[in-house]
Amino acid sequence: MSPKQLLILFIVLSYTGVVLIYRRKKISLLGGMEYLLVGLLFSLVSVDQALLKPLLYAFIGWIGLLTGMQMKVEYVSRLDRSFYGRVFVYTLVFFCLVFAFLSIVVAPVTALYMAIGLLPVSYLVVARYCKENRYVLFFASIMPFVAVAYLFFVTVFQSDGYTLSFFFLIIACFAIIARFIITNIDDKRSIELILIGLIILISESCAVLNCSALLVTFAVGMYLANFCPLDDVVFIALYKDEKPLYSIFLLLVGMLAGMQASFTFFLQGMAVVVFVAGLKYVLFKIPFFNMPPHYHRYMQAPGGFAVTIGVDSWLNQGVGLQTGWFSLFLFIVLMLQFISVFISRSYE
Amino acid sequence: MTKAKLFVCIISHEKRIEDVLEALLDAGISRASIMDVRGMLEYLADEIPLFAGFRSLIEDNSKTNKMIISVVENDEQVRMAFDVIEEVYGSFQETNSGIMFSLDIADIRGLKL
Amino acid sequence: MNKLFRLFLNALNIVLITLVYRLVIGASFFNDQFVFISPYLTLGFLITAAYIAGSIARHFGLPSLTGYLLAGLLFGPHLLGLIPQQDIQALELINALALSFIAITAGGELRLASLKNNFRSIISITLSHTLLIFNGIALLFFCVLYYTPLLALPDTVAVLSFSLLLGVIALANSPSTTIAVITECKSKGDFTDIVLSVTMLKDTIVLVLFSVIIAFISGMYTGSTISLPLLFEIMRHLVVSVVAGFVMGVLLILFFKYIDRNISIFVIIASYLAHEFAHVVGLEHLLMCLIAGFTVQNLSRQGPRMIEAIENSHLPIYVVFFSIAGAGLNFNYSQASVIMVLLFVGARTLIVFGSTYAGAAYADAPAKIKKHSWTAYIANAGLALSMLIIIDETFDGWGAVFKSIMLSVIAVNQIIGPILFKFGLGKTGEARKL
Repeated sequence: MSPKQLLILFIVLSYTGVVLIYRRKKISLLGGMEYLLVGLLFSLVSVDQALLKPLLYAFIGWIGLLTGMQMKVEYVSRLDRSFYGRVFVYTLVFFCLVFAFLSIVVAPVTALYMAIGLLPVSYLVVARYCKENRYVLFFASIMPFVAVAYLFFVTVFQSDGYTLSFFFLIIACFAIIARFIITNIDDKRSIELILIGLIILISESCAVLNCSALLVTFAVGMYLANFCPLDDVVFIALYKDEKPLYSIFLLLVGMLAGMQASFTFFLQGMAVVVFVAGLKYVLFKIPFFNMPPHYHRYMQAPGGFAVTIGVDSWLNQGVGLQTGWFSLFLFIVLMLQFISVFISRSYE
Repeated sequence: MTKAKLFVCIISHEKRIEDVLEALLDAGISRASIMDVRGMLEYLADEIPLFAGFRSLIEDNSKTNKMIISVVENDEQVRMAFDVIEEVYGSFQETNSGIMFSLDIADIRGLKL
Repeated sequence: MNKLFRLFLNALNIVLITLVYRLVIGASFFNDQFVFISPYLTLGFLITAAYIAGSIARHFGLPSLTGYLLAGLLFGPHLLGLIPQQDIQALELINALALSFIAITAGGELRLASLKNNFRSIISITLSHTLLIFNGIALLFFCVLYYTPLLALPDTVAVLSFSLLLGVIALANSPSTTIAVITECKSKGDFTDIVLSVTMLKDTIVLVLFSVIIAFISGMYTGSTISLPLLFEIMRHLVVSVVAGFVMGVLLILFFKYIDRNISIFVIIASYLAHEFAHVVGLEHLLMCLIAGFTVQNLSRQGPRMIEAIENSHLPIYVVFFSIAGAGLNFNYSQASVIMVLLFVGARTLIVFGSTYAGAAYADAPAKIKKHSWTAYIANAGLALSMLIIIDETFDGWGAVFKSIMLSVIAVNQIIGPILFKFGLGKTGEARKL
């Protein structure tokens, strides 16, 4: 199959997905990640990887921008400090323990990125089951930002001064230009077009310059949210087609990641799954985090943003990390999603 | 039983509410109340965002339908209102576009017909 | 904000974006995956830069597609050379899709009632164009090429073939340009409908005529005459395309009625599927999409929904399509070429004006059609480009010369055509947004 035929197939599939997966009364068994599985199955068909991989950068850019644009100072300041404190302690404890455990199963550098990747929580799953509890909802929704912060710090510590200043320069450059261009649009309806152009341009530039597209577009999004007068229009344009785009993204990720079928692989994966699930179960027993203990079952699923972080690390650091780690990571994420939804559904 | 009728119109495309109200005004109906209502299905199956959770929590504006009620003088006015709204908004035959109906009013105070 | 300041900012934005793009490409030296990333990067750059160029064009009262074209031309491989040739070819996928999309749009804009009203004018202008433009240009250039050593063609047969083909290409129009300007100016009315119908009709005629002439010329070279089976084949080809278009239209109608989600993306997919299908089965996919759009508009009540979907998603497609088209435009600077180009463009413009006026007058069309509709028929790309490729491949020797001269002609027509058309539309008062 040629890449263009595949792409069209993806889009058609994503259509059915939006109807079949997201609009049902009961949440689907994998929490919306069916397409990851489908993509992994597709990877058995021979695919021109190199041709489609740059497309992933564009999707990461879109997600990064969408996430970054939620970081408005006025929003962030509405939540009180004790909440942020609890979030910080929770993520720190979780991260350290997971990182320690993962370093046994995989190489330490790989463990670092996998641990960050497992930080987020699926907002989709949490919102389905905990609609009434706004505290938990906020807790789940703030996780992606924490994960991005961790990713950012890791990047800072890993880079030398030269690379770092270059990185900040790129961000500043793109942020200012993006704001300039967006503010100067004469017809608000063409905002989608200019966003497509900018996202592709920025993401692919990151691809060329070997930077993390997620961090760069996140920073640009943050800048736009706070300094661009058209930020609401931009946000709505970005957010409108979330579900079909997300489905295509998962398909692409699955296809490019490829499947691994070995017993050690399976064992490693299950070991991590059991550890992470158990850790969350224990952590939720601690009253300090202000959540009912049985909520751990809803908070197990890592969600779409976990996949995003995984993809970004894979694209950016891939060479430095051990081979096959990404498939392992995807396996862990899918298992956790399944466990979370399965247990939640059996209590319904 | 008065001849007056209560004209009720619920539209789901809430952005068109202004067109509909202007059409009513043109047809001579100048008193109406507009309410925000939510459909049963929307109540049951909320669209949960994937990546925009934080912002949607902070903002929390859910999609609403608009309901217009107005006391009109007689059946003719009701029919005229129906026609005039259908012209502007489109046919109500399509699913999920809305509903219009009228009720008899037994007694009324506060309005000179 | 002050308009002039806006303009300055737009220009500044383009410069900045180009700088960034250039710098990124410069840094690509260190990245071995770059050859795969390059088309995407170019796409992002092109969308952004071309869109801003379109804004600048609008500022001067020109249609935005002129901006897109000029951006593509400026940054393309022939002028500044910022965009490499391979990327243009890689992005052709989008153009194929865009063409189908544009044809569906055009079909959707034709309303049966309006066609019936303007039937006389449409037929009259079309016939007048066909007779006068084709014969006029062919004759003119036959004389010029036969009696002057301008192009040094080998023999009379070559001169005849050259002239005939020039005539056919002179007849061709650019439905995409016409539709793009109409969509941008949101024009509605008799003038718009007539112009659109005539353009579509002429394209069909050009298709048939081109096939016949190619067959005739091949016949001259090999000594045989046109066979009846060949004509049958062409007719059958057309009829099957029309039927396929109708079927596609019905499928679209069903979709709008029953599924009805994310319509904008669906129309794009439908266009692409149509293109692939036509390729595989060997149909004339433009005609097919035109009929499909026409079916949806006139045989169901889903027309407005389709138009709405198209209006929502047309912008990215037009921007990419016209900027890539612009990047493909080329100017040949040899002396003979310049003379030919000037002669062709000048003569064609005059004959177009004359034949349009005559045709409109014969059908008693209103004054605005007589005086201004000629502006719609100047743009020349689209079908002409496909024909050029075929000519270049079929006739070695003068085929390449023909193609390079005509590319320059098309380039000129593509630049002045839309500007003239927007101007003409403005004069008729049918444009609702200038």
